[in-house]
Amino acid sequence: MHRTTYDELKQAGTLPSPTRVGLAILRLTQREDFVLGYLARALQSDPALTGRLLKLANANLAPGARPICSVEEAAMVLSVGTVRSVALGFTLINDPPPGAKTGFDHEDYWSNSLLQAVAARHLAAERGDVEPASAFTCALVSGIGRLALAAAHPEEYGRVVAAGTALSCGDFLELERKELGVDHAELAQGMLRDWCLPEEWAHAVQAFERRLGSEAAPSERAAALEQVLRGAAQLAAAFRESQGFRIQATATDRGDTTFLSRELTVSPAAVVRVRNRIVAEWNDWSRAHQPPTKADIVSSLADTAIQRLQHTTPRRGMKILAVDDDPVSLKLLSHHLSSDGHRVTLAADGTEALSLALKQRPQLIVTDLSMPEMDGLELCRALRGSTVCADAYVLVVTGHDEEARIVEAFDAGADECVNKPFNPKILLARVRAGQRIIELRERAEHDKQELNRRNAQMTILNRQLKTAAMTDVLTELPNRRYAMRRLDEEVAASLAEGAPLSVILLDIDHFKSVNDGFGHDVGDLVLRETRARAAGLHPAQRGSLPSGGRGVPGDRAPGHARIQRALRRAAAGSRVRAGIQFRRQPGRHHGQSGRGRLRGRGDHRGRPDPHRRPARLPGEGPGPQPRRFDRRHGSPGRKRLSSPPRAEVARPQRTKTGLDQAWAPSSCTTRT
Amino acid sequence: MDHSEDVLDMNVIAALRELGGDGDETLFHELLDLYVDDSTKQLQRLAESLEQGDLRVAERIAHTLKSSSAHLGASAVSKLCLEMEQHGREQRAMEMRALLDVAREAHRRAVAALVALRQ
Repeated sequence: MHRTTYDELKQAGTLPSPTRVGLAILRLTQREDFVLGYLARALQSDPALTGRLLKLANANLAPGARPICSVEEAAMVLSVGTVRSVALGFTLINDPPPGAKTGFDHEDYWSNSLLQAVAARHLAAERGDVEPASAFTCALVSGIGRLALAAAHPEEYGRVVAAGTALSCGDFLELERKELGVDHAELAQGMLRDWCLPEEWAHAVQAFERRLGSEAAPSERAAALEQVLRGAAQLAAAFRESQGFRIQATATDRGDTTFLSRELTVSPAAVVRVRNRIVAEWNDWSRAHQPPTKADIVSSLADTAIQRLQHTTPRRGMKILAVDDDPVSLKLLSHHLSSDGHRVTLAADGTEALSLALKQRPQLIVTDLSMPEMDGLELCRALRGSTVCADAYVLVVTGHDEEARIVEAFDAGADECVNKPFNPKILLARVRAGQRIIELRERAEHDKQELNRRNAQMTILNRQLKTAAMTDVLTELPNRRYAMRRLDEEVAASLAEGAPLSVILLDIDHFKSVNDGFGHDVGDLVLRETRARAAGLHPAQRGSLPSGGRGVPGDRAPGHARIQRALRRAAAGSRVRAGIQFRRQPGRHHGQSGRGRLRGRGDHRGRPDPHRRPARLPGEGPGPQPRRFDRRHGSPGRKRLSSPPRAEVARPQRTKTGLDQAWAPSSCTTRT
Repeated sequence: MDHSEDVLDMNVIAALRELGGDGDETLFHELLDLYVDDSTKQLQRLAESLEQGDLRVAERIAHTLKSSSAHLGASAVSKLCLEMEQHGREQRAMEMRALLDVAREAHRRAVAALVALRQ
C-alpha cells in the first residue's frame, strides 16, 4: 500500500489544480497591494477566461450602455472577489479528472458539490453573515480532498469509498489514512492554503470535513462559514433523499422544515425560501432531463457573479406613493407605475398623502398640484419639513398652463415635474431618473453609516489603545506615563488656582529582595496585593494611585495623615508583610514642575536602578527565604526619591510591621 | 366660439384600450366608469360653487375636470374646462357661468359616446 503524504502527492503532481493562470489570479487577488493591471496581464494569457469574464461583465449592463471590452474594466465592474471566484471555478473544473474509469464517480462528485454550493449560496444569502459568492465557491471546493485522493490513487480510492459507505465520518477519515496515508480533510486544507484562498476557508473546511463543529473554527468568520457548509450539506442530503423535496423524506425525516430550521439555525420560513430557491435552480438545469454537468457549474458561477452585480446595480421596484384628487388620473398613474414594477400606494388628496407618507416612507412620491384640502405645494413643504420624508423624491404632475406654479413647486421642494395629461413613457422615464438619484442617495447614506460604524470602532480601539498605553499591565494601575502627564496638569492647575496640591508617592522598599528571595511571581503578587489594598482605601483614589486626585479638598494635612495611616494599615497584616513609610514634605512646588522633580528615578515597579542596593544583602548568602531584613535597608530607597527634602515636618515614620516575616516596608513620600 | 369638434379623440381612446394588453379592456372599462361617475359629480359641484360665488373652488374643479376629460379623450370638455379655469383665475364669474351650460352639453355628449363604447 502506498504511504503518501500531502507533500509527496503534491510533488508527484497528481493533485487536481487550477490552471497556471487561475493560480496566478488567486495569488494576485490575495495580495494587499493588488494592482488591477497585473490581474489584467495574468488574465490576458488565458483567452478563454478573458472571454468569459467579459461576457459576464456585459451580461448585466444597462440597455444602451457602452459595452465593456477590456479586462480591466471587467474586473472593475465585477469586483476582485468575483473575478477570483470565477477564475477558480472555471479553471479548476475545466481540469479533466484523471482516472475517470475507476470506482470514484466523478460526475456524482461534481453534481453533489454543485448542489452543496448552490445550497450554501442561498443559505448564506438568508443568514447574511457570509458573503454568498464566497459560500458558493468554498462549498464547491470543500470536497476537493476526495477528488485529490481519487486523482492520486484512482483504483485504491475507489475501493476505499466502496468500503467506507457505511462508516461514520471519523472512521472514514481513519480508513483513508490507513489505506492511503492521508485523509481528504487534511488534503483539502493543504490545497486551499496552497491556492492562497482565505485562511478561514481552510479552517471552515477542516472543521466541516472532520465534523468538529463550528466551535473548532478559530475565528468568527470561519465559524459562520463552517455553519453554512454544514447546513448546505444537510440541505443537499435532504434534497437528494426527498427527490428534490418532492416527497416527504424517508425515515430520517431530514427534509422536514422544523428539523432543518433547527439544524441550520434559521427560521422555518427561511428554510422554505432556501429550499424553494434550490429546487428552482436545480429544475432549471434538469429541464433537459439530465443531471447538471460541469457546464452548469460554470453557468452557476456566472449566476453568482451576476447576482452580486444586481446587488449593486439599480433594481426595479420602488415604494411609490401616487397622489391625485382625480380618480381617473390616479387610476392611470397606478397602472403605469405598477406595470413598471413599482409598489404603488394611492392617496386622493394631500392630507391623506401626508399621513400615508409618514407611515410608509415611500422612496418616491408622484403628486398632482391642485387638490382640495392640502394641495401639492403644501404637501411638498410638509414632506420637506418632516424628519422621515425629507429625502423622498417628489415628482409633481402639472398642467400645461401652470408654468408659474412649476417654479413655486420646485421652491416648495419638488425634485422634478411632468406634464399632465402625462405621456406614460415620459412619466416612467422621469421616475427612472428619480430612481437613479434615490439609489445614489441611499448608497451614499449606506456608505455614511458604514463610515460611522467604522469610526465608532476606531474610537473604541483608540480608547482601548490609549488605556493600554497608560496602564501598567501587571497592576492595572495607571502607569508612569500617565502619572507624569497627570502631574503636569495638576501642577499647572494648582499654580493657576493657588490651591494646595498633595502628592503621595508610594514605594515598596526592598522589593528587589522579594523578587530575589521568593521569585518574581511572588513579587508580582505583592504588587497586585498592595495595589488592591491601596485601591480599596479612598474613593478619590480608587484604582489610580499615582494620580491621587486633588487630595482631600480643604483638608490637606489631616487628609494626608488619614490616607497615610490607612495605607499603612492596609499594607500590614498580610502574610508577606509590608510596611509603608511616609514622609511628608510641606511647601509648594518650589518652582519646579512635578515632572522635573520626579524624572530620573526608577519606576515604581523597581526597575533596576544604579543606586539601588545590591540584590542580595551582604551576609545573607545566596538563595531564598530571607526571614528578616534589617530596618536600615529601608532608607536607601527613600533617599533616591527626589531632591533632598527641604523641610521635613515629620520624621520618617516607620510602621510597626514585623511580626514573623517583616520586611520590605514601602515608603511613601508626601508633598503638600 | 366654435365647439363643434368631434366629441371624442379616438386616438386617445385607442391608446386607452391597449393599456390592459392582449385585448383585455377591463382597465379601459374601469377608467371609463370612473370618469362617467366622477365627472358628472364634479360638474354638479362646479355649478353649485358658481352659484355660491366660490370662484376658487370652481376653478379647481374645472382644472381637475380638464385633465380627467383629457385622459378620456373628451377633448371638447377638456378645452371648455380650461377656458373656465382661466376665467376663474381672473375672477370672471359671468364668463364662467356662460361656459358652464356649453360644457354640460359637451359633457353629456361625451358621456353618451363613452357609454356607447362600453357596449
